[in-house]
Amino acid sequence: MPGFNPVTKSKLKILIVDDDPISLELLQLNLESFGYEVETATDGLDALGKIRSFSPRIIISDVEMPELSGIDLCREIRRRPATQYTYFILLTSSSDPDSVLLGLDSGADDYLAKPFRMDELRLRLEAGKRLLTLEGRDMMIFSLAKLAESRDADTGKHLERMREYSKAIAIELSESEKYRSIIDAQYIELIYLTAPLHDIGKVGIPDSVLLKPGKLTPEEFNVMKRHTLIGGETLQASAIAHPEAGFLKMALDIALKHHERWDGSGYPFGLKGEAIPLCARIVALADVYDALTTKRVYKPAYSHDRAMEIVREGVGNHFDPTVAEAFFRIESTIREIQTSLDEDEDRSSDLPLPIAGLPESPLPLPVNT
Amino acid sequence: LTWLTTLEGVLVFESIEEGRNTESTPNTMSTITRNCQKTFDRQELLQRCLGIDSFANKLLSALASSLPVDRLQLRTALDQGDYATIARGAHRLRGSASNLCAAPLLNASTALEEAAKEGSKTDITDRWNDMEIAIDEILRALEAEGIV
Repeated sequence: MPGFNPVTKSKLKILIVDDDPISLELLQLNLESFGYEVETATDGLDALGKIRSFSPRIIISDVEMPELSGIDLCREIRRRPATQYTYFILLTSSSDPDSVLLGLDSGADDYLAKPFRMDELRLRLEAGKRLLTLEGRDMMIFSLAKLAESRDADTGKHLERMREYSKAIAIELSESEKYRSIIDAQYIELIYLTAPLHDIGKVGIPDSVLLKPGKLTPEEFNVMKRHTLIGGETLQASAIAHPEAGFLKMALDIALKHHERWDGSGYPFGLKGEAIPLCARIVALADVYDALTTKRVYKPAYSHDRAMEIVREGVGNHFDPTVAEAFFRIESTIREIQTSLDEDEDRSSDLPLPIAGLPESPLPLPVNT
Repeated sequence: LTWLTTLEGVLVFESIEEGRNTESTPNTMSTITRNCQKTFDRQELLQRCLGIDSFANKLLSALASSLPVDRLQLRTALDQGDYATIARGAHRLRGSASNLCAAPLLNASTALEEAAKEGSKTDITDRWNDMEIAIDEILRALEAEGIV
């Protein structure tokens, strides 16, 4: 796959702030052994400079330091928009319980009373990472999904239905022998969260193509196909910058590969069968079903029955047979979702309209295909 | 009883002459505190240094180099009645002592820091004497280990 390397995780950055050089060295040694990238600062002012150049996600700071105390440093960090989401751990004095209250009041996320055990610090950092991931994940997904939505005239409740369909299929698959060990509760939650990002790459498609009311020429279709690569590149860059955000890997797989087809005739890479990530195979089906059952500028809304018929025709060539079987088994759930989030009142046409000029896509697929 | 100090909220009575400790609530003492009963505990330090002996020696050597300077700065601050500097210096030494598992130095620096924060000249003088003893003691121990 040219231009796409597997996501290699960079290390999470931690800044340690302490005026005692021995404490700094010992902490640095241990944190590096835990797998973090570490920078040190000898007081609060020094830390503010290092924050600009190093951009840590976590700061561990002593309370009492010359120039700027750990508590004042924390207040300053919380005040600045660029750093307010940094996870802050204060190293407090066990003989001064007031510093714990002061520290938490200044906006610190956690504290450790000195002397502390390194394995306790490691566990607290793990907790911090989990919090950072959850906060960052929800913010990022929401922002990206809204961005994708703003560039697509067709969507309406498309994103909402898409994730409901994807979730329902994933739940059904999770009960199968084949996928029981792969699809767990976390996988289902992630596909629900990240399915709306499947068309994020459309932000990079020119209006003249994306918003064209009629059929696309083969050249325009080639431009449109690039939305998978653009989405993939965007999410890959985010995944590298935020290695703690594991959900970006699934979002990347979906955005990049949801137009691949089971028989290898899809794009952008022509992947075949199980070389296509499972999440992308699930979202591909959900995306097509939704495109079929909603009105688009280039086609009317098909009935559920007609859409199911078209999906059946695509089993084994467009769709993964196992995913499709799960989809058919939960037909009543799919129909329920479709009805509850329906926005087309003039669903009258059961006749598939020919999509002129698009030999690659025999089915009336999403993205004007 | 030479020192009365607070470690993790537990009172520790240290007796230099008899070389033993009496803990007021022994069941609540952490592993760190339990092990920190020698001038410095090399085993505990080595564990904190991930078993890297050369790294432990490097930290001990850094302490051996900085202690005479710290002592001078604290003494000057004491002569000038600069309690804020004493509190800051003692706090920093407490951090080093804690990480190096040097219990007597940790106890002495903690007591000095608290006295300096309270601003009682008599207490500070007493604590300073204890501090000098603790500094001499650890420098001797480091010398015996070939660190100094």
